[in-house]
Amino acid sequence: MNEAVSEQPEGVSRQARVVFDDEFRELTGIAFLGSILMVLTLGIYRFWFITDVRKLLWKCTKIDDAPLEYTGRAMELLIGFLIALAILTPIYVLFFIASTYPNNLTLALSANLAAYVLLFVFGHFAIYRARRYRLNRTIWKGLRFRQEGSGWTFTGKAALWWLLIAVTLGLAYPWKDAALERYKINNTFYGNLSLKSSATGRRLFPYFLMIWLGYLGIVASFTMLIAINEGASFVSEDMVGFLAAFGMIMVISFIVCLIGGILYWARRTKHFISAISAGKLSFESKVRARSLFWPFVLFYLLAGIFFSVAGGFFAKTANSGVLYLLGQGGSLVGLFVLIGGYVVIFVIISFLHTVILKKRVWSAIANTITLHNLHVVDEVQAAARQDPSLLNQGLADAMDADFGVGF
Amino acid sequence: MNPEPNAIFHDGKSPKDQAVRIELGFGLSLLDDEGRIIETWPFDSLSLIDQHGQTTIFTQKKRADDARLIITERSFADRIFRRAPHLRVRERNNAKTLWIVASWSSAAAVSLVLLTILGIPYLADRLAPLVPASIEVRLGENVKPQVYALFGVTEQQICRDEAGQRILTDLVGQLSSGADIPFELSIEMVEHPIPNAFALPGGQIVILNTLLDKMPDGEAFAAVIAHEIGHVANRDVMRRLIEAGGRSFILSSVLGDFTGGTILLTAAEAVFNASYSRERESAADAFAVAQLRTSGADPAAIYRALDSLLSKQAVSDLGRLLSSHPVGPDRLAALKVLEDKLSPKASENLLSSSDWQALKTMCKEGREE
Repeated sequence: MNEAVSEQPEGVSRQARVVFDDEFRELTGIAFLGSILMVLTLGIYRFWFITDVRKLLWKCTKIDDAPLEYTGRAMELLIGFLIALAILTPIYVLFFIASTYPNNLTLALSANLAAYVLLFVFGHFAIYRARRYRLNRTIWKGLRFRQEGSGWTFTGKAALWWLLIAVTLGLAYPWKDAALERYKINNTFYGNLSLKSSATGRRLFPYFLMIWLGYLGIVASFTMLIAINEGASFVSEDMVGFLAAFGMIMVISFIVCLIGGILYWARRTKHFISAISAGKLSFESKVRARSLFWPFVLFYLLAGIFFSVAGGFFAKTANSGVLYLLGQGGSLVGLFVLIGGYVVIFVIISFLHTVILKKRVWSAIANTITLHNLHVVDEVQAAARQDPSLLNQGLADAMDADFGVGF
Repeated sequence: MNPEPNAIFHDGKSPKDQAVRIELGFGLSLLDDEGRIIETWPFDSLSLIDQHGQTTIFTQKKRADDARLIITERSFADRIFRRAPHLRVRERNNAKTLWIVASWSSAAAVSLVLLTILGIPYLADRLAPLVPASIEVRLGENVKPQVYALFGVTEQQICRDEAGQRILTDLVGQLSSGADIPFELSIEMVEHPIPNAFALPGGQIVILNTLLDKMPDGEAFAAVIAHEIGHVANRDVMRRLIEAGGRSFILSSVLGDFTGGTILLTAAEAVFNASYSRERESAADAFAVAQLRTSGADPAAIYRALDSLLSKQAVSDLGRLLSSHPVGPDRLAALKVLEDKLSPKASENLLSSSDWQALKTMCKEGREE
């Protein structure tokens, strides 16, 4: 087989599309059982649930006919979570004491500030190291992915970029995204093959400007509405026109903001993937904004329908459950309906979230990726094996940072 | 003669697809396209990565690299399974692990719930009396702005009418005389649409002015204040504070509140705790009755206060939710018994009718000044 590759004439590009082979039944089973167990265990089961979902999404994703393989274990996430808990608990207690320390406002305020700074540092550090964990547990064709670089450097870069964002009133945001993406990808390896990213913020700026202008419109019209409301003790007839105008501006700004947000997300995904290369090997993404948008519409539509139907049926009984809780009569049966309803709602939402939102976004992105000059991969050698510390994925969990399934 | 390949081999050193022929002997012999043996995997060293559809993926235990053997024909994989029965045992073990995980984490969830419902109130009971009064006073100063912010109370809504304030302070003085209270009591009237009164840490009592409109007479109002002083004397506020801190710690930190477990726990806790907080309310009621009696007022005034709060169902659902004193029918019934036992005697007028009127308009007075 390797001879066949080297016999290929120069310049002929071997290319492969990424294919997502949907295992609908298996994912449905995992999502349903997992959601039930999560609510029964008050969330402790989540480490097993996340691991199961990842294993499935990974193996459904095939590049050049070979599936990805996720080798992470739930127990590793649990241990990481416990370590993070051991570190974060004393910090939590310290901040609690400091922020309620009697009669010392300076201490309380600086404790709050320090808490935000720590949250930022831990959050970015954890995101970077969680990515390292996921890559290190991903195998394709018998070789592992790997991430080098340092979580502290990543956090430092992020901090400097956020300062710049503050100075430029937010306009530097796309450049921050691109810079952090470049740091991530440039430190990513498959075996001994080093990936490179040429992501730039300039390409994304037009879409970000849409969000920015929309946001500006919302803030401006809101401020004007408040000013009018405060300034006038009564609304005269010619002011109705003003109010309507500002209301219109607000609605239009909101729509601009929303569409800009979706476009920005889709274009960023497309640009960032297409910017990845390794020597002659290059990536191409053709993902469209609407294929990322529809899963959200479908998810909220189904969840909404479910809520209104369930609400219509059980509102009265559930209300008597609320009254029972408040000690104002009501019935115990109502309370059980209330709790049962809560469990059912959680299970359904979590189920829909996995089966519709997570899976469809994943497959929409995966199915539109093409790899060019794949023969580069045949020259790759395995790298020396290394196990990243378990700590950081758990830290991300404890901090509620991105705990998604993507790279 | 070249052997027909029946599997794809990734040797863990390079990602190249190697088409191999597998022969079954004492193990799996992997032959390349010229019939040479590349590797031999004994049956007991096999480990199953995944099987679905026609595809089965194997690796070897304790290998330094991540070599994978992909067999694309199910019937051939089944022949391997027959020779390596430990692979099926492994699958059964996985199912067993699931049950162990599910049942133990459910058990852990149950003990966390019990800790929240029973353990934390117990802890709060023990700890609250140990907190020095001076600490609680300073704590109260910090908590008050936060509570006001929660209720949306601004500086302008605090009623600062001097005459009214004097009446309130006198009333508190009379109602607390002779009682063992670790703090200097303070009282404040605030303009707010929800009729309520509550005690804050360090002996601060806050009255929301619409409560006065709900009260049938001045004595009933005095009874409500006496009830709040009861909470202060019993250090219930500190207890609540410790409880809330402990609970939020367990929920946010240990559980991560991933499933919205807060709601479930709060609901469960409310059921089990109903009797507990009723106990605290009854204790405050008893204190109020005793103090009203020492002040020479009608102890049944507390019944009148609660009755009017309950019968005038003008309170919004939100108001009831925020109310720290749910007026349950059983609590009212308990007080009704109390009222019947007492012979309502002519009141000594703890609060003269002119003072009562002054209090009712206190917030408006402050505004006009």
